[in-house]
Amino acid sequence: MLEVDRVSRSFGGVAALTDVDLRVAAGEVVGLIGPNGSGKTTLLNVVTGISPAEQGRVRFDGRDVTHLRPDRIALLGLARTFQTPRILHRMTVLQNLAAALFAGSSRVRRLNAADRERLLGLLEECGLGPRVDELASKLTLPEQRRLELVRTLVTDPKLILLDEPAGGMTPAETEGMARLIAEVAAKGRTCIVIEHKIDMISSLCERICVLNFGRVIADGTTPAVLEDEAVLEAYLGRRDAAA
Amino acid sequence: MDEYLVQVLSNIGMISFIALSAYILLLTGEISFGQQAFFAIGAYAAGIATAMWGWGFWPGLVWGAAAAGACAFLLAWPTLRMRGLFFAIGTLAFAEMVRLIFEIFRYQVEIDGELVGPNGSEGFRGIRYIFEQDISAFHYMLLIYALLAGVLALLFVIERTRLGAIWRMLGEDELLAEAQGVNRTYYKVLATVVAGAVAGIGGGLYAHMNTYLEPKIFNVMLGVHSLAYGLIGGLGTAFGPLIGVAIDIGLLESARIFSGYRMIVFGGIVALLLIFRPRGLLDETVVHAIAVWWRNVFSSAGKRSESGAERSAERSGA
Repeated sequence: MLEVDRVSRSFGGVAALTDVDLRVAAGEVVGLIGPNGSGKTTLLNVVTGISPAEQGRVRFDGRDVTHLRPDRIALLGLARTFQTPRILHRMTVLQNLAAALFAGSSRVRRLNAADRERLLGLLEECGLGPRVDELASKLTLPEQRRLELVRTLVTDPKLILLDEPAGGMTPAETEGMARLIAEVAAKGRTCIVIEHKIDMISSLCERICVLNFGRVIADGTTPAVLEDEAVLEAYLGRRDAAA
Repeated sequence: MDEYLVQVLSNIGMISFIALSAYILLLTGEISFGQQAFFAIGAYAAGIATAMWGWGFWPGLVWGAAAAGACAFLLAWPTLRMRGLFFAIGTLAFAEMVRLIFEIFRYQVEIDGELVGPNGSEGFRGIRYIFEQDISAFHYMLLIYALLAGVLALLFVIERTRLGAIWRMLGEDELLAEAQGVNRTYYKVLATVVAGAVAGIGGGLYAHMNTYLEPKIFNVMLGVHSLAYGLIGGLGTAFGPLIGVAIDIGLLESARIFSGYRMIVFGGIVALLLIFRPRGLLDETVVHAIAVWWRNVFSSAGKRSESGAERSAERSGA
């Protein structure tokens, strides 16, 4: 589904990503973790075309998308959420989803009754049912994150990228979000999840890829990665240094 | 109807076109200081067509709108590749360029022993079509408002369908729109062309009402006003800019008590609104509140008639 091949990207001489490889197969839910500034979001921005790779290639669904514009990549079936939620505050919750539908399909000229029903159903499933006609600016942060998640489903994408979907949430809210993502994943959707909350990642993902200083330091099954020396070191510091 | 009132209402109608033109671009998040250029191009093109080429009024007006739209396309293609402030500066430079070109633009033909056509800074006299056809000022005013209603209807349809949603999406968060599949350049160029054509219609109407065009009236203040109309009246609905025009032309320019103080009061209103209501009187929040209220009225009226029907059904059953 997604093949990231020896990708490098720098910003003003600072290497944000160096020779990063990542492969995600259809149906997989892969966790992407790493300390702050390790390049996780940069990798998402490379894949989505927002800041294209300087070296290396990105293939999505069999196509080379390395230098495609973000909108072209999105239309190939890729949807994402943002670390700081990006929602349309001046529109209602339902209009936010309608906008995503319009953006993702030039076929849909106006919202017909069937589309409307489907969007309302999606909002109902994620608990935003009572708020469909409110302006999105009225939503709380967890609600904004849920809206972002459900918005990725509107266009029926092949790959969903979630950038800290539980960022800034309480444990209870995090659990709710984890349940929602698990429901999405259970329908066979391919996802990459960036998250700092290891409990959530380990419950959702069978595989984890770890970045540190822009390099992949571990990639494997969840239990193996979580016991990996290099990973523990990156998160907790060197053992002998602590001793 | 009072002659002065007809003139004021006609002015409000015509200026509404350029206000709507600026509004369309504001929807997509672009600030243009140059919509007066498209108003001017529409005015000259329509005037030339009827006064010099002997075209009818409607073909002339369509030609004016098309010329303005085409020039908007030529402007939009290079400038919209740049972001933010560059577009604002680009439109300003373009509009001044257009005005200066009209200052030296000479194209005259002899009609009935008289030279007709644009004569540089002397202006363009003799756009007499509606007088030759004996159309009264009152009827011309009705024609302006019929066209304005048409443009408003078009905008309402746009706002309720895909194009409007995408324009507003771009206006609020370009990066998000692109990440969801919107081709930014295409939709912004489209908005600029539609906005240019709308301003061009207004220009064509202006040329035929005034019979006389002078390059200096298409200066940057006209563009600044057209931007301010949307910001005063509100960006939540196409009615917003019309309220802005009505306040400025209807009240400040035409009521004699404000004479001489128009710009001071106008500037004050703009400054206050930018502080307290940055997206105007009818902003998205107000429009949403009205929509909710309207739906409630509508649905409770529906319920009342339903229960009324039930009651009458019971009665007939009994």
